[in-house]
Amino acid sequence: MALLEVDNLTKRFGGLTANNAISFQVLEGELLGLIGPNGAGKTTLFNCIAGLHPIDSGTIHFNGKNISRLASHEIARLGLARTFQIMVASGDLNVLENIMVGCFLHTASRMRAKAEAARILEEMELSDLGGFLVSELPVAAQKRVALATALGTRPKLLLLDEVAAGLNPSEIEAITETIHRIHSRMGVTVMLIEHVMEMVMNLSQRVVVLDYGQKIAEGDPGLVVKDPNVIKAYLGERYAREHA
Amino acid sequence: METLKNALDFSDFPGLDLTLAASVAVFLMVFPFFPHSSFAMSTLIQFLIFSLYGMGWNTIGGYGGQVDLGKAQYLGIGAYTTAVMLLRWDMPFWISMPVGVLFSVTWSFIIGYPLFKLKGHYFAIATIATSLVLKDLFEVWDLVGGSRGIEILAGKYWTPDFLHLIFKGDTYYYYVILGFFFFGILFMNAFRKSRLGFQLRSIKDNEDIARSLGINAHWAKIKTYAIATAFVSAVGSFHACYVKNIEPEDTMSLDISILIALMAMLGGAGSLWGPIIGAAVLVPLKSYLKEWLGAQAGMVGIDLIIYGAIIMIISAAEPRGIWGMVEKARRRRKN
Amino acid sequence: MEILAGSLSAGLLIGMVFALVALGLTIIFGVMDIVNFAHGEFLMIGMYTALLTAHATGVDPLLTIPFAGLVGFLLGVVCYLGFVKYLIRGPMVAQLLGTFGLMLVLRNLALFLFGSEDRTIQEGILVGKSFDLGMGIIFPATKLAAAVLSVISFIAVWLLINRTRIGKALMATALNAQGARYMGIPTERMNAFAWGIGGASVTMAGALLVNFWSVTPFVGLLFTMIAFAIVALGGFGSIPGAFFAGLIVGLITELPGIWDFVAEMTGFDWMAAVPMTSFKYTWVYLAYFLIMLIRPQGLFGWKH
Repeated sequence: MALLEVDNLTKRFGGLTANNAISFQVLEGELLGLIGPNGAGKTTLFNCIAGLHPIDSGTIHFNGKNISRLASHEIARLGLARTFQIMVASGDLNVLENIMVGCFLHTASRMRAKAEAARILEEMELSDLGGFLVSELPVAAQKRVALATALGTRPKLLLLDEVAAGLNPSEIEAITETIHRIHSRMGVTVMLIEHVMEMVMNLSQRVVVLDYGQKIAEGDPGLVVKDPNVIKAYLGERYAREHA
Repeated sequence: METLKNALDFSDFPGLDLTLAASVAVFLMVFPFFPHSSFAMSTLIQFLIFSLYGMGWNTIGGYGGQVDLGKAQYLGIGAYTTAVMLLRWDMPFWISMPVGVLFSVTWSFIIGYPLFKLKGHYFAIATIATSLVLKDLFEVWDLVGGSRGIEILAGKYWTPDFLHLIFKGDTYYYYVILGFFFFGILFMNAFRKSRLGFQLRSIKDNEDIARSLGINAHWAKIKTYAIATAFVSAVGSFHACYVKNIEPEDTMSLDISILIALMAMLGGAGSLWGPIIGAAVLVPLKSYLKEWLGAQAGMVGIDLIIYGAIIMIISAAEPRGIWGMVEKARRRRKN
Repeated sequence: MEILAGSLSAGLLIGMVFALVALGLTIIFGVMDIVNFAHGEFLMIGMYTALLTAHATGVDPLLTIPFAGLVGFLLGVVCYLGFVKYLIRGPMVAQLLGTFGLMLVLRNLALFLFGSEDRTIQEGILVGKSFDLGMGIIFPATKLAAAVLSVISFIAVWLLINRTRIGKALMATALNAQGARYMGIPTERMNAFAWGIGGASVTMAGALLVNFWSVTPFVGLLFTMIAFAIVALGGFGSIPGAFFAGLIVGLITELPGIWDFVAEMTGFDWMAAVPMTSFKYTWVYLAYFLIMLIRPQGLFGWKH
């Protein structure tokens, strides 16, 4: 059954069409990768789904409900969480408190929010860092905090925007493992944007490829990377012709 | 129940802070028993009043990061409601204060809805504009005495009158506002740990992230604005009984709004003790400067020049205020 | 009919001066996103400069404008280099309160030096003269001269920014400070220059205004609010916007006259009973509020 169903979504910024008639589905329990060259419209697509940008046409259904016109907080309350590429946290909330903000979605009790946040901290192997400000942490830990904060809202579907960007190989391996665990053990459906191909290949059951705001391919990761259109998008027209 | 527990739980502060806070509390409670000048007494009452205004402002301005420079309009609504109800219908303070709060909060919802569609500077200036519009309105409104304002004649009441809050001696007023003050601290202690408090701090940090966590940012701000308003309005009612002579220029001017924000910022916006520290520094500074310098012939304005210069220095040098400096130092020692 | 014509013409005249008052604010805002609460105090300083220079030297107050402009330029540069430079590193609340502190200092310095009494210009070639064009349109000579000179000053500043190298560097700093720095533009000096130009234009406006508007140390706040309203209406950072918005706000301040006209035409007694003149500036504040809600980018906004 489709948890998220995007149908003919179009988003324009002035004269620029960032997403052009994009349709795809995310099935319940799936782990879907969203890839494409820089500027392909991946983050815009996330922002449209999460309600940050109003869409120009098309529909988005989540869990059978039309969310195309809902505000982002309403969408979050339905169980769709996302992380941001840049976790700007200059404020005075520490790591534990950041995660509590997410947990407060389901309870007004500080005690319960705190207990749940502590549990998530442990799950994310962040227990030692609860008292630090996010700005005091290394990038890898910041990314984990972003993940943990989103998990606090108990999402059905988690949209991850480049959680591996700026990490070194061993950190990438660790966060891949974490995402895998969130998906398989906690039963959260995941859709991720990623530039690190190895990670997408390892994790995704299916990938969707965007280029210049269009969906150019979709399917099994092993097959999609062999698709001439995808090769062309990533490596250029000439390379594709010569190696065809 | 949990809210009450949160209000009474100060355990996340280090022992030194709590010892200091407790000593100050004891000092405030016993102060009237020691010999003191009436000037010191009125300065201390002003300190308590402005601490409370600052606490109110701190909810939306400090924790929420929404620079509200229009708080004086609610001071005015509270003060005028109490004064008018007392003069016309002889209404007790304890009835007119909640009525004033009701008026203020209603007004805050009406203007808060559009106000919070604005951000940053645009929001700050718009709050000034709404406050000035209301002040202009009060200046021509006969019911509230126009620009000459209202005077409460204490003579017709038997004092001490706890019902109408009319006293001859300042000591009674002192203890009433001290009660408000302690209540204010407990309320703020609960607020900063509440769901709304967390939501606001998240909004201040990054509004997009906050909304992606299911927080209705617009509504959270409006609710908090109403809380801040209730604080200011209630103390404004007290102000009317205490000062007894209110006019738009004194109660609703931009200077008052700015002073309220300044107290909180100087002490440290977004912290429990910030507004109290700020008021403890600025109120005596302002009144003693005025007493020493303003009264001397040919020195008109000197007190406010020094006062303005201090504001300038703080804003440029340490915008996170005194409490921000303390926290920074502690954090550095910890890491 | 005469009331209407009189109000409209008076509104447009004062609007031209208002436009010059707001020009400095919009330049400073456009270049570095900071709102200057002391803007009206700069104006007050311009008024005193013109008044006192005219008294001391005996020249006509209208001739003191270049000198007032020079004082304003220096004032702006000094304020930037000595204070605002440090302020803009902090959060927005610090900027608002910091410039409010500046406003208090300047206002009370004036109070200390000049006293609190109203001062007006009594002597001058144009004082007391006026042109009656009929139809209720009466142009007091001082106001007319102020309006004309305002427009000239406005155009001069506009040319400076749009037609000179330094003006273009200023625009580049406004659009993208970091990019401008990479291109070798000394953005720090540009910021100081923006404050200088902003200060000069508003003190010149003050020197014009003092010919028909009495000056006290407390005159500033009203003009700060008027300038905010104009800048909001014209679009934060837009120079042509400031001009047209100035005219519109000038007309708004003449709403009482228009109200009287409507009352007279319709014959509604209740309208005449409303004390409209008390609300002369209330409409300006209200206009700011409504503009921000309906069209936050203003009429000509380019930067938001």
